[in-house]
Amino acid sequence: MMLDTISPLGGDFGSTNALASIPWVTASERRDLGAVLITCAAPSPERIKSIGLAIGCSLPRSHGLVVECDGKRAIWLTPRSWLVLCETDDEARLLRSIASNFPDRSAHASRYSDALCWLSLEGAKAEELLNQGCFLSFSQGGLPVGNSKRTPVAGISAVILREAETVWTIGVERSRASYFVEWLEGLTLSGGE
Amino acid sequence: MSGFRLENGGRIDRSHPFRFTYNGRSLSGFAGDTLASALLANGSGIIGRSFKYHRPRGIYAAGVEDPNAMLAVRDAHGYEPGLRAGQVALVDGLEAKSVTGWPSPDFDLVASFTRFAAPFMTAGFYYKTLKWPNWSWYEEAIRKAAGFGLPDGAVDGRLREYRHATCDVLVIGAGPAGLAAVRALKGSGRDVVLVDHANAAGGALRWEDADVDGQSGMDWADGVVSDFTAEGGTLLLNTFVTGAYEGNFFTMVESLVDEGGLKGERIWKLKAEHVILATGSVDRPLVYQNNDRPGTLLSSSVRQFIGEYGVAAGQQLVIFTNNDSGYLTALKVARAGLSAPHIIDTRQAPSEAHVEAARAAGSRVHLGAHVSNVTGGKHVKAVAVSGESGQQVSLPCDAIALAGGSTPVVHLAAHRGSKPVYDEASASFVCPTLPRRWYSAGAVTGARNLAEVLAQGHEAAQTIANTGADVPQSEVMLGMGGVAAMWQAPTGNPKNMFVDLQNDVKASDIKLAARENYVSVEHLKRYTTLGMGTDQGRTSNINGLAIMADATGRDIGVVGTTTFRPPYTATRMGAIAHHRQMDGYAPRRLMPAHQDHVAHGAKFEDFGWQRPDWYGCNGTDREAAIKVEMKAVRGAVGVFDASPLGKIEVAGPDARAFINKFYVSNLTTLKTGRVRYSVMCHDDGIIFDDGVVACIDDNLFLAGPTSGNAESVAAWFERWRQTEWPDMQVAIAPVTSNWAAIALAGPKARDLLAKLSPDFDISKDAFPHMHYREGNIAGVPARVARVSFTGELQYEVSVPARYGQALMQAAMREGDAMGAKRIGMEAWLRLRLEKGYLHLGSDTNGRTTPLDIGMGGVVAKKQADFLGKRALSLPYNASGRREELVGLKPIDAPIQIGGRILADGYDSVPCPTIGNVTSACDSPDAGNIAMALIERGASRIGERVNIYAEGSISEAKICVPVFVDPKNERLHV
Repeated sequence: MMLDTISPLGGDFGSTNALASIPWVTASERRDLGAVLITCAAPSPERIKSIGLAIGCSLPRSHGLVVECDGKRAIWLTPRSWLVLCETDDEARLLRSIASNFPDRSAHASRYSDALCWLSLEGAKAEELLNQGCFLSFSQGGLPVGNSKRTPVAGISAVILREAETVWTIGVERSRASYFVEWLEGLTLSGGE
Repeated sequence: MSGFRLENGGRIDRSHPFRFTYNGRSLSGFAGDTLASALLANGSGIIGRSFKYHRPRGIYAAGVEDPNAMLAVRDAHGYEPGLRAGQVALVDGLEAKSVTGWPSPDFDLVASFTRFAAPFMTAGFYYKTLKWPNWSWYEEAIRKAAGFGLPDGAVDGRLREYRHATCDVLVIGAGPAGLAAVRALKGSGRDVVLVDHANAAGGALRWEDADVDGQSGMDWADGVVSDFTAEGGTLLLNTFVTGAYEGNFFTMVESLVDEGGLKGERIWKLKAEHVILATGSVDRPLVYQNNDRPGTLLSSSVRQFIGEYGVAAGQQLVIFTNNDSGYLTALKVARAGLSAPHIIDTRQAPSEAHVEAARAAGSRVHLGAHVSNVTGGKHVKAVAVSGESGQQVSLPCDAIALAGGSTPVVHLAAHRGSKPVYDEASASFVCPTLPRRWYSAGAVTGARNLAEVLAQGHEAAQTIANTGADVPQSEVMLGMGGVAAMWQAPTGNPKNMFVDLQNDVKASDIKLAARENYVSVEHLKRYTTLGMGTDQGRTSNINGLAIMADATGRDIGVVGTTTFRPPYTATRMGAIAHHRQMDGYAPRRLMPAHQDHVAHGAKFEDFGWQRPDWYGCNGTDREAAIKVEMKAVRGAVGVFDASPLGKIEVAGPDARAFINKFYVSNLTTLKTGRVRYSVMCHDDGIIFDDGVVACIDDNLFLAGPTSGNAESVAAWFERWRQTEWPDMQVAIAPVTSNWAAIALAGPKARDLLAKLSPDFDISKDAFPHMHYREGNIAGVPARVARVSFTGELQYEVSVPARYGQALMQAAMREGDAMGAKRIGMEAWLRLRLEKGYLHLGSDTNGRTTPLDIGMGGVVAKKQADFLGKRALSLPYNASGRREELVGLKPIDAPIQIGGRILADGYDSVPCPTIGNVTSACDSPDAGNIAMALIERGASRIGERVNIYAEGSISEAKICVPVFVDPKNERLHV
């Protein structure tokens, strides 16, 4: 028996899906992104380094930082938790690696590929759209290119990565993905009309 | 008729004439006008009636400080029942209507009554008089007479937008102080936001006669703004900063105006590192007899109407002043080619330069004099001027300009808790102590002269970033000079001296309040309504406070001010609420198999998630479908989408000890692969959540809180880990949304699970009740718990959410031959009621402890400490008189949820209550059944109680709350 997969917004995993209904920007659902949630029971520098070695990607140590290596990106969430973005097929390998390296569960990896819906927004207006639902800024404490932030957007929790000057990747909780897309679709930009 | 359009002058665009209507009359204006300037230009004298006495009122000021000019306005985008005319940009086709006065503001029948009744309608009149026999007898008529406009019921077409922003420096006010600040920040690299409520920067430079850095004030302002925006600064015009909050967080409302009117509004939420408060001041009126007659305006507004809009307030003006600014108005009027006004100055020795300049312009100056009365019913016709010698002269006029000093706009600083302090020099309240990283500049500090204003703005900016810029140099012919406060004219009838024009509060009302001991400023406000309403006392408060001070022999500073609260100016509820409806209020959550539920006719209920209440595919109506679904579970197998059930992984060497601190059951003995049900409490011993905990291995547990509490339980764990047990080696991973969960329940559940190709042994002995397994189901990773909420053999199968819908469909496909049915929430809840299982929130309330639901034995056995343990041992919680969860069976009529259990010996209401029905339903197998929380219920099994519900009383018998399978045989098949 084989079960079909369905992404938060409909369709198969493992690809991208254009979302033409979102105005002002080029948007898509990133069905190709998998994820593992890494938590650490006692986050000493040595242990965090060991986790990095186990997954093949060092873990960032401070707020907002993202480390990219070997097709994976490690996002700092809290002082003892990280989100590691990977290919969807790589999730199981990362889980095994952490489990075998940390049998006492002092570090733990949870399946997370299905927890979030990842959207890509690209365009000069993307920041202005997102600013209708949250604080994003270039100023002090802002979000430079290559960094990420976990923040409420449009009333729900989201992880935001700034990939490039006008390219954003946003992860929202799967069950709220439809709401979030409809929120984006309903936004207006009076200055841009 | 008094105001009129001047031949020249103003910043309006005379090449773009507009037509608009006021009370049905077609009038004209120009692009750049406000509704107030256009009405004044058209000679519209009376624009409304006062709130209480229905006295005629006219345009009083040019902007937000006007207490009178509230009008209903319709533009191309919508209708608003009460807007201040000075805040409405004139557009072609705009329709304005007065909202007070019946049948019209010019001829108001109510006024003919209040004219005679006014002497009796003093402060507190409503409170003292209209409470007999009941306020509601009068309320409708009084509200109708009070006016302020009616909504039209239509949904407007205005755009609503939100913006969030952060900046290094927020400059509030784009007048000379604010512009000096942004000029000084040029080149600093700081991210600066400059905000002003007007549609252009410059503030008073737009209409006052002043030069800065060798240019006209307006050219200088334009240059500063041009440089500012070229450097990337953000300029927000037509924007009010409505509130200041902790952490330098601000709310702002930006009006989006186009050729059709107010196209929309944008709510800004902005956080700033530094704040420069340059909000300026508003003119203060003077208090004398009949000071409210149409034709009376604030002095600076007279200058603004001339300088900005090319509109004169009247042909023959009288200026009443206690400071030098009144002379500037006289000069402005004379330069506009109008008759030189009389100046009535309360001071004996004002600035000689000002007096000479005014006299040279043709004005006659009356020193040491005051206005003691005004003649003219519907419009000013003359003023009576009294000198110090007592002699009185009458001066004909059609407009009066009042210059009583300035009131700094300190509201935003006060929102943050800065205490306004009375400053003798400027005769005003200022905020000398500001929040951290706030700086004030300009008239808001009490500064009155342009050079000082510019220097303060410059200095504030240089404190933030020293760019080495030079201070702007100003040149004015005459300055604002000093103030000699006069709070109330020494002659005239206080019963006709209006302090608060919007609420008809008179000098005599304030003195009455003092006599009746409402001397606290907060009591004064509530008793007299001084400073209430849409203008919030901008023009009235300080005069009122000063009169109270005089009446009680105190200093003004001792009387103090009332509390300033956001919003600074009236804000549309629509702009605030905007998207906070439907999804915007509570974003819906969809389960992974949502589309499959839709396809099978699910009728959804919001349980935090959109969950099927029942399925249309199971019956044509709710009760029929629920019956089918319940029978399937009891007789075959039901498939229930349990995806929202919480899933929190608790991992680490201390995971077992950690999780044991939360649940009342002993989890130290929970073996790998086993599951245990328990409840958790807050520290007060009250049940917070219930659910099962699975032990995956010695250092990894999977907690399963209720759907509604999944996020709050994770936060609860995290809170205690961080604050109380930071040394415990444990990590918490909330993974609810990663997994879709399908429950298979019923005697054929094992058969159905087998059809889904599990790669592990699911036989009765290999996988008993309250056990947990991991493996693959249908070829995908799965977590399976054999637990039951229905009393039947039940498996909860969790797979990664991407497979949730396919698993649901596969289960139904494979189960079709077994009689499988989709199960909705209502059937699921009724099934658990048949079994007597607790439903958190239904069968518990904010007082229920584990002892009340029959878990006293579990609690007693647990030696280790847990949250709530101490509280459960306290006498109140251990009392034998607590409400306990029991079952009920009806004697004579069906039991209804929410029914009150009557105290023993009562068979009618009113009477004491000893409990309530928490759950009830009609069961296909057990008939009408219920659970209830009843005082000492557990010791009263077999007794009868009376239940009151919806007007009738029925009788029921208390029983053990298990209505099917009391021996749990079905659980263990």
